[in-house]
Amino acid sequence: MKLAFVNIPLQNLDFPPAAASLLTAIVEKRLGWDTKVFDFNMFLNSSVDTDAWIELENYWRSTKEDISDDARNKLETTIEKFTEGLQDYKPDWVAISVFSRWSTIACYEVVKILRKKLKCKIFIGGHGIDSWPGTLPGRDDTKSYTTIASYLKDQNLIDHYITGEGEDAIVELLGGHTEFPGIDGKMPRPVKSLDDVPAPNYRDVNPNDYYYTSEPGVYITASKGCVRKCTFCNVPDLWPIYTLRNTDSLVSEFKMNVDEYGVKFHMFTDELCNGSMKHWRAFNKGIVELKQNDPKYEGIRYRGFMICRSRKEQDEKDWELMAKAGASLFMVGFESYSPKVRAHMGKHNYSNDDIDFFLEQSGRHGIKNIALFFTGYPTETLDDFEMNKEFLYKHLKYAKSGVVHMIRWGYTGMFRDPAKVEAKQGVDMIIDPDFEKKFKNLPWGIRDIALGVGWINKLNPTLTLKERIRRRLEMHELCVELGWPQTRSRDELTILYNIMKNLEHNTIDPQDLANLDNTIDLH
Amino acid sequence: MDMVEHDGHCTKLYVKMVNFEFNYKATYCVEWPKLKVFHNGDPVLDVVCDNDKLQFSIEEQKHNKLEFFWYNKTQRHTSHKNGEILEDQTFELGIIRADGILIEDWFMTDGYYKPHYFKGFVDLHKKERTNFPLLEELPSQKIWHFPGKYYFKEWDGTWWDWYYKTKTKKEVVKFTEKDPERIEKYRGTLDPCTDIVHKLRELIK
Repeated sequence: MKLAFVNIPLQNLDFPPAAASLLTAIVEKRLGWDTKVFDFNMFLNSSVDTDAWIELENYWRSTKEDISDDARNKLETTIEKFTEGLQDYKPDWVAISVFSRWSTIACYEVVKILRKKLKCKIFIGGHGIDSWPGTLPGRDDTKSYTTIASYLKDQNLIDHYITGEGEDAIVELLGGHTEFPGIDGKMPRPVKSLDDVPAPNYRDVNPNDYYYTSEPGVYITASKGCVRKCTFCNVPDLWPIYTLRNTDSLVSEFKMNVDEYGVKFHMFTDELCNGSMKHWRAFNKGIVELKQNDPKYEGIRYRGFMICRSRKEQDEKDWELMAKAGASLFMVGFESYSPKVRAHMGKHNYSNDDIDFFLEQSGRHGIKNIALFFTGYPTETLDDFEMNKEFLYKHLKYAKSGVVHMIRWGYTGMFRDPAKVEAKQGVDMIIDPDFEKKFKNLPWGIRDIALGVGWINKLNPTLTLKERIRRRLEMHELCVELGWPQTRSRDELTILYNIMKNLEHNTIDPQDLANLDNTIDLH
Repeated sequence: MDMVEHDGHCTKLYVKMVNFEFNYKATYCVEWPKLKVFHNGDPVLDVVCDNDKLQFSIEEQKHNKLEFFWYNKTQRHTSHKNGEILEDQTFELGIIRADGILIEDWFMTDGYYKPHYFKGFVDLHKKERTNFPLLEELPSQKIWHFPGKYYFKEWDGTWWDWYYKTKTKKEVVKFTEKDPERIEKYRGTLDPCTDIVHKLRELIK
């Protein structure tokens, strides 16, 4: 039996796709099937010119509703040509990895053609398949579906879909067990053990063939889930149990990637690397020992998401160990410089002094960070907001030196499901029941995001939609003025603009609260 | 960079000093190496290098020039026996931190060392290595055997502003033709997004 695994946009071109290389290795090991990865993302990039590539990227991101005839022609011609390669392979099944919500349009475009040309079964999986089907452009027949996966299945464009982790479910599906958790809308089940999972297979997607930024690299997984339960995050819902992988097998995979592919740069897919300090230290010690035993491994480096820990939990020795092991870049959600706001989020485990220590130690060892913050959190007062500004002034040297490589001020919008944020005192969310009606010509792709901004916290009524946007703009402008490099700020401001310009009455003012309270009972 | 003062609403920042930490390895013979540090020609430190790092602060000026002068080594600071060196006074530059932050190597490697060769060495070199002239300036020289001066990369204005600009210019980002947004993705952007900011401001008036 043969499985063709298809990787689609929107994904970075830097490194081989993680899902494809891992899941094909699992299918080969557990089922003994023949597998092949077909990277349509790379194929498309190599087939179209830069203008078409940029236009298509905007199309995937929903920043434009439709594409020009020229771009459409190039897209469809490329998919047809790509399909010929698949036909030659003669697969029994085709798997399509829908990486994120920005992969849904590409998925739709690809399956439309694959369905016509291939006789085999098709299934999809990945984070993006839970996206609202309204993200598809110009589709008026999607409103009754909750996810894009259920829509595509009902339209007979796919045969099955896997929600949640694919490690176990893909084997069960291909084995004919469609009743297994996670398949076709059944409640998914987290993967039982990360230690039974084989190493990814880069046979068809050699890291050296990708368009890396500085050096070839691969993704690697050390854990699933998270040790914290933050109000704004759905990770604990997806992975209720924090699961760790044996550090010996982790270090072995680093070693194998150097030995077999000459790849020294690794990117952790984990939600956080330092969820268990005992595990994290053991991993870092393992890599340091590997480097000490053979200079061949000297250049090993890694990057990953971190939580900010207290100085007591993660001290100077830990920072020195991480630096020696090759810590290169951390993505860390400091979230706010206001302890009060952080406490409400569920991030009460560290103080501002601990944030300062995190940056100081990063700077001391030359470790870069992407700092993630929110502005406009439901409990954020003007004083809290000022504290975020204080962060920018106080730590400017970290921006200039590259210790904070980039900063992101995420706009707090998506509170369609307010239960988590309301579980703590200080928040009584009101969601405007007529918010959707206030829009005209709202682009489909950002409709779900737009509907997420129609809230106000009754206990912090001056934080209106306008005020939240004002604060977001102020943080943007202050970053520019001081010299803090930002990431994706233009994208986010453009989405906000697209929402606002389509909003007929572009505000929810505090005076509307009484009416709203009478008309909706969310609890 | 010290933040000396800011008002209650964090709107002002005054920059005063840059604090440097130079790590080194030194070897002893008769005595330890002695170094003087100059900023724009003014002495800021005179130190015996018997440890592993030296620290000093400088007040930033419009143009900044940093020099290390190793001044105490003479031929008596190298001990020989039967043509072999038994002990030697040497100095090797290591990592550098500014304001506690590890800085990239180019601040050092873009500089150069101007050794004061001993007369005996110059004579010997002339005699034995006629095809290889003795260089007056040694770029990126980390290990020093002769007394002399190291001239670090000069900078204009505020250290961290200059450092950011220079670092950014030196970064190599591959395959930008394949991924037009790569530079922004790789290092972020200071793009003011004036157009979209203006339009959004109009909408929330």
